[in-house]
Amino acid sequence: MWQKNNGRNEAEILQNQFTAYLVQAVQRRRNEYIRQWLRREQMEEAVEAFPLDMEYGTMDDMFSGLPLFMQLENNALYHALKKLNEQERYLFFSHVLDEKSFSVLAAEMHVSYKGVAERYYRIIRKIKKKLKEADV
Amino acid sequence: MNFKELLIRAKAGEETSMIMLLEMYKPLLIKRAICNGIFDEDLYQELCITLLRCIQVFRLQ
Repeated sequence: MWQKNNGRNEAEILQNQFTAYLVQAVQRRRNEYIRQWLRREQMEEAVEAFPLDMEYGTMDDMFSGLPLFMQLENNALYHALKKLNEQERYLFFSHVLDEKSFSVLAAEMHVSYKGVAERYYRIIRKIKKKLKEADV
Repeated sequence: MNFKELLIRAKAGEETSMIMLLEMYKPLLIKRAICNGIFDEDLYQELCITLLRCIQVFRLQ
């Protein structure tokens, strides 16, 4: 049904132009799609990172830490914790539950001791703010 | 029917013309829908949508 396109007459030139246009659009959509896919993958990895880190702690940490988070009676606290991003939550839990010191965390996250402390207290402030909001 | 007529009809929303164009460009779309050596159905659907949008948006001189 379709003959070879030699780009001779108007219709063939038009077809070539359209094909070029389409190829460009398809390539862009494809790149976009792959970028979205990669981002999703990264996010899934980040979610998985926390439970994996728990395994490196002692068994006690695992059992004392996990049910606590799951059985948080205080709904507001649960939501406040959920609002934190992955890194903040990791920092908060490792300091509070795993009792990792700031200096250990600083080395882990490649930031200064002060940086970790600042982040930690910022997280605490955030949680307090969220809890206050929930109270009102 | 040459390509120009086909495109004009597809632009006007004639379904058979759109399907013909889709069939025509199917190999191209399938080729681009292969990701890491695996045919990605979702991506293929996205590219089909892209084709339909291109038909609408492409400007005839």
